[in-house]
Amino acid sequence: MIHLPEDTLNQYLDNALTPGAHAEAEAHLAICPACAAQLVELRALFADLDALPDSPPAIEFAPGILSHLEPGSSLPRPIRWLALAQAIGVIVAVILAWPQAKIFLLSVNLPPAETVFAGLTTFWQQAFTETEISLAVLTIPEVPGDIPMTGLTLAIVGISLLWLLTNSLLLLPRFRRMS
Amino acid sequence: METLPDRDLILRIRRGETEAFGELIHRTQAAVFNVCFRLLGERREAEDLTQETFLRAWERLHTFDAERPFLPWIRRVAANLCLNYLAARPTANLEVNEERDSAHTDPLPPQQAEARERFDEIRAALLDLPPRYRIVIELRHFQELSYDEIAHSLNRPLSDVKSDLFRARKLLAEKLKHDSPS
Repeated sequence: MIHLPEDTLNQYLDNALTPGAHAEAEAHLAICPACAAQLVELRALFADLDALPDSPPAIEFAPGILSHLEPGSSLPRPIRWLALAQAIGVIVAVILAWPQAKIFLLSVNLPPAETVFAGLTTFWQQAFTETEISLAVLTIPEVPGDIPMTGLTLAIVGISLLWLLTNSLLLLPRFRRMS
Repeated sequence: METLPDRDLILRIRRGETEAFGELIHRTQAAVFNVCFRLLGERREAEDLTQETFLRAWERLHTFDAERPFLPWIRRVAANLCLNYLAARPTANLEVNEERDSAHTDPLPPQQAEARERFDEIRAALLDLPPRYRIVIELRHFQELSYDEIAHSLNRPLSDVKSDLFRARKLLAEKLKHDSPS
């Protein structure tokens, strides 16, 4: 007697045989003790696997996972300190730059706000009515007086660099997870 | 939130409600953890991979069809992550690690102790299988996927899935026969 191949027995138990092949296998198993014994062994293995109980997790996963999803709380400590340093740096830069900024603002001798707004309104009305805007209108106004700008420039450059550096570090974890 | 179906939770998550994701994690964490624990055999690693699974799900939730059940999908994500992890992990002789399972520290009546011993043998036999075989057992017996679904999930030819599954069962049966006290 030709016995059933092992893969047929497996597919028989997995209900993966065609109806015709299933009926054939069933008929063979009814008359072949060797194949029937093999089937019993395979069934016992299936039963063993089915009986394997779940093991309860020892921890609650949600809090840890949700903290990873909130950008502020997922930041590494050095980066959080850097954000604080950035804020302090901005305050210090503003304090250092203030005396020179004050001199600059006073020397500009700004006109009253209503005059500025009235002038702007007139300007835009003219700009829309004329087809061409005079190039003279677009020239950058010169800063009046001889104001030492080094401190102010350094402060602005410093703040910009610090801003770029810190924000790059803030975005780094996101880029890492996306890649 | 507890009474909402998974579908509604997923729609809320897509609107940015992280609490809804917390609820979804709470509902499915035991199943996901068990996929990882069966495949890795070590609690700490299973916990790490469970966490990784949910983070991956969060990133890919926009690709998931909310009309379909969430649990089978997340379990497949977990299985695939574990498979990749096993491929990268150096081969080690793994034993079932139940040290952190507080339930196992309590003394048990003899009948229950015997059953637990048998379960530990089955777990150990599963961990003795090469990862390639372990994953098909996981997907067929514990996640109840069809041959076609396994082939699709693992991106393997159907013939490979069948032969892997039959070989895995044969190895398991031999191993359990040897380990059996009778």
